[in-house]
Amino acid sequence: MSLATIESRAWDGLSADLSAARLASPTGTILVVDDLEASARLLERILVRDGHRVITAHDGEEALASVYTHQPDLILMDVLMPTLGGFETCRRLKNDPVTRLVPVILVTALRQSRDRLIGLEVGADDFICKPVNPQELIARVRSLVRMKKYTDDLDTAESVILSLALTIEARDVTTEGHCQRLARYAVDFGRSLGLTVDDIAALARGGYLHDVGKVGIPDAVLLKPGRLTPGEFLVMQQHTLIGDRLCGDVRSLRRVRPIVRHHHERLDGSGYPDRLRGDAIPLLAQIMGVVDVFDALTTVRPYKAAVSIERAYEELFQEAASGWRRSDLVDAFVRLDPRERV
Amino acid sequence: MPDISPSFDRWLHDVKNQLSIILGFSEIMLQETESGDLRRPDLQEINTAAGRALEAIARAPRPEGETSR
Repeated sequence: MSLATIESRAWDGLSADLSAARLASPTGTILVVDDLEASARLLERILVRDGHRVITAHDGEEALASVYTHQPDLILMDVLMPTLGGFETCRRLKNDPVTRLVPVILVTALRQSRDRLIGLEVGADDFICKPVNPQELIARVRSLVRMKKYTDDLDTAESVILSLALTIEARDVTTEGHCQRLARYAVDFGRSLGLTVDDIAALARGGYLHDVGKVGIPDAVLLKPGRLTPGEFLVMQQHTLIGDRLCGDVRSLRRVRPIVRHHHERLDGSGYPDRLRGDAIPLLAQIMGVVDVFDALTTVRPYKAAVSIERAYEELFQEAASGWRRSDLVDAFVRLDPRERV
Repeated sequence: MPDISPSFDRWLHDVKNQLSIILGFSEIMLQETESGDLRRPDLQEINTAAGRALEAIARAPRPEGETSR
């Protein structure tokens, strides 16, 4: 067995042990939101005895602020509260990308089915009626905290890959800000095309991660101040496959993988890595391809100067005329307000 | 977001909230009190009464003109 294999297995074992240890003990930070002080204290007593750390808030506004400050693993929230009630607070939490994955249990003395339906509509993960059964509360809290820790593990994996992508950008000073710009262009473009929220989110992530595979490309090729030789170009093309493999095990990136792998494909099959043709190229990858070319043209690179926006548009139209890109996509991109891209 | 009206439902909600607090804390105190503790029967009375009160308001007739939400 090689040293690399031994190290790899040791690392896998350590990761599994750490993960198992975290999940075996499903205690976490719980935010209890209730305008009745005594109700909040009752829930706090039950949860603290089960090993959780509890913070309290007394209305929706205070809860929203507290979520950002304390980053709880779970929120237990009353429905009827002054100023901002539980339904609206839950809706806001679930619409915010930063807080949407924090589970919310609505705890209420309301028993009508309509209230439960509203709770589900605003994205609540569970519903508990008062008077609370302590055993039931503890079981549900443990279950959702365990789920949150799984999500955190996935989120951590995604963060590592994102950090890797930004590290690659930092290796090459001429591409500084490229990832941020691409994410912004792609999101604006996707919105203008009426894509779904999930597709827009994939484009935002794809903007940052599309070139993550460049981590495996030697500096001599990646940073070469001049045109690449055919051999070097083949090496450079590997970044799409390396990036695809890096994102492979991260479930939250499954919609991003096609962007990472296929953003250099061309409609006529002359692109890489799979020489896909026409509609076989995923739409999100085609979108990323358009904005990637636009940004590459309008910024300075080791091998070329920046061109004007108008000149970049001409180049994109030329690529569409050559059969590399969908002309309707290029038209739609050019029709976007240029001020959004400057 | 729809809010509950100041009606029978609201009253029911508020009473249940208070009874839930009595019931919950008396349960915790019972769990934390030794079996021979002289306060235990009194705590049990509080706990049982709160439970019965909750059952009673669940059976309370809805006032005329009030519709169930």
